[in-house]
Amino acid sequence: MKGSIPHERIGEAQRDVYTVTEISDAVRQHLESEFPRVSVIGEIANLKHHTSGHTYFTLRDSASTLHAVLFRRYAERLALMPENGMLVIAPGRISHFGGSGQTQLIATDLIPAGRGNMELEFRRLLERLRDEGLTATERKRPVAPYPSQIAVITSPTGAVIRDIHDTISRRWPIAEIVHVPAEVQGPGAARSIAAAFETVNAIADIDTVILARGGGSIEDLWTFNLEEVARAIAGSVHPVITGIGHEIDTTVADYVADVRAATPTAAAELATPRAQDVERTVADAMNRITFLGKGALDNRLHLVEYLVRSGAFPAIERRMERGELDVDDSLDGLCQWWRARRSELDGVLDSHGAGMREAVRERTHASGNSLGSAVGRLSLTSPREHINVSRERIEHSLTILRSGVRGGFSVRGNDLTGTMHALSALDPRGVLRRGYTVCTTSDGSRVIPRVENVAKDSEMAVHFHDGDAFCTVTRKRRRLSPWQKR
Amino acid sequence: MAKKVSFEEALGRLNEIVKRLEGGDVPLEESMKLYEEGMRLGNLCRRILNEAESRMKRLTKEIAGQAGEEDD
Repeated sequence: MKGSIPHERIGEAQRDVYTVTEISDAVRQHLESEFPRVSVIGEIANLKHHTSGHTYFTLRDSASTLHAVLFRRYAERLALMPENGMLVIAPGRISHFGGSGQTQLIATDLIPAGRGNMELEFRRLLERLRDEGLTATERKRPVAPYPSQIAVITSPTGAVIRDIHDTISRRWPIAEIVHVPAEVQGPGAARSIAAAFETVNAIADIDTVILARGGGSIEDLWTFNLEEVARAIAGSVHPVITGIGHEIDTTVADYVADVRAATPTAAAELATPRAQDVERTVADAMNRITFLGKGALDNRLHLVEYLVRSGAFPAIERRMERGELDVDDSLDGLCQWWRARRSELDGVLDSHGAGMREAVRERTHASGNSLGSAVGRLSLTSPREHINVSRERIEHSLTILRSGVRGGFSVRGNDLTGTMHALSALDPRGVLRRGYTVCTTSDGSRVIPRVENVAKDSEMAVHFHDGDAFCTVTRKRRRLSPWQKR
Repeated sequence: MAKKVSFEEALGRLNEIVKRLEGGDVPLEESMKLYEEGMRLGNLCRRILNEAESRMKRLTKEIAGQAGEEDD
C-alpha cells in the first residue's frame, strides 16, 4: 500500500507513515499492554443487549464517556442486572477496536454501585478528617516505651488476639493485656468499636491501645473506613496503634491512629520493647551508679585524708603547743572525731556491700595512719615553740572540730560534707581552687615543699583542687628569689 | 500500701539518679542515698522483669481457653 503513495511527496517523513490498520494495531497493542487490568467506576448508559449475548454500554462521569463491552461469557455470569444510570465498577482491560475505531473497556464484571460509593466515601471522609487536622503528624502521640497495661480492641475470638498475646508475652511479659472484645465486621461493628474505646477511655492505667483486625476483603475491612471508628480513635484518651488487615491495606483508621502498624502482630511489636534490651539498660544504669557512687565516696575520703595531713590538725597542734588548749582534751576530741567519722563511713560502707567497702578500705586506713602520726607528733613537740599562724584560723578550725566532736557526726544535719566544706576553708584546697597546686610523693604520703626534695626522674603527684596528676620529673632548677632568702 | 511503682516509673527514676550522679556536685550523704535508691530501683526493675512470666501464664491459659475459630 505504501507503494501507491508518490515517493516525492513523502520524502524524509516516509518512516513515520502508517496505514490505518497499522496505527490501529499499534494503538491497540499499546493500550493493552498499558492497561491490562483496570477497574473503571462510572455510570452505565446506552445499554444494549445484543442477540449474540454480548452486552454493550458506555460508562460515563460528569466529563467523559468510555465505550465498554461485556462479552457473553461474562455477561451471563453477572450478579446484577445492569441498568442505565446504575453506578458500577467495571474491572477489565482497555483495548482499541479497528473496525469501529473505538477505544473500549473490555469488562469482565460489573460490581454494584455501593462499592463505588465506598471509594468516594473513603476519600471524602479522609479529606474531611484531614481538614480538621485529625490526621496531622503533630497530633500523633508517642506510645509508652515500657507499658504495663495494653488494651487490645479486636474480635472476641480468633487468631488476632492470640497472635497479639503471643507477641507481647514473648517480648514484654510485664504488660498486662486487657482484651476488650468488639465486633470488627458487619453492621454494628463501628458502634461496637466506639463503645470499646469508651470502655478503654475510662481505664486510667492503660498505656497503649491496640485496634486490630486480621486480613480480609475491602468490604470486610470497611468498618475501619467509617467516621464513627475514626472519631473514636481520634478521641481516645490513650495512644492508639492500629494493626488492620495486611501490609497493603490502609484504612481511614490507620490515618487517624497515633501509630499505624501493618498487621496485628506488628502492632504488638510496636507497642512493646524487648525485655532483653531493657534488662541490659537496667544493668547499665546500675553499673553506672555503682561507679559514680564509689567515685563520690572516694573523692570525699580523699579530701578527709588531705585535711588530716595538711589542714586542720597542724593548726590544732600549734594551738596546743602554745598551751592554749588542754592537750588531753584535744587529743580525746580528735580521736573521738575520727572514730565518729570512721563509724559513719563504716555505716555507709556496710549498706553498700563488699565491693565498695574493699575499694575504700585502703584509703580510710591510710587516713587513720596519718591521724595517728599527727597525734604522735603532738606529744613530741614542745609547747613553747611559736609558730606564726593566724588566731582566727585556729579559732575557726577549733569551733568546727569541737562541734563535730560534741555532736558526733550528726552536726549540720548529719552532713559530713557540710563539715568538710567548712574545714576546707582552712585548707590549702581553698588555695588550690585559685589555681595553685600541691606536690606530694607519688603515693601521696608526704608533701614535697622544696625543689631540693625532688630527684630527677622520680615520680610525684600533683594535686589540683579537682583531681591529681602523676608526673615524672624530667628537669629541675633551683630559684634564688628574694623571698626565699628571707 | 501505696500505689505499686510501675516499671516505667522505676526505670525513669533510675535514669534520673544516673543523671544526678553524673552531674557531680551531689553531697556525699545524698549521693549515697541516691546510690541506695538506684540499686533498689534497679533490683526492682529486674524483679519485675523476672516475675513477669508467671503473670502471663495465667493470661495464656485464659486466652487459650477462649481461642476458637479464625475470624479472618
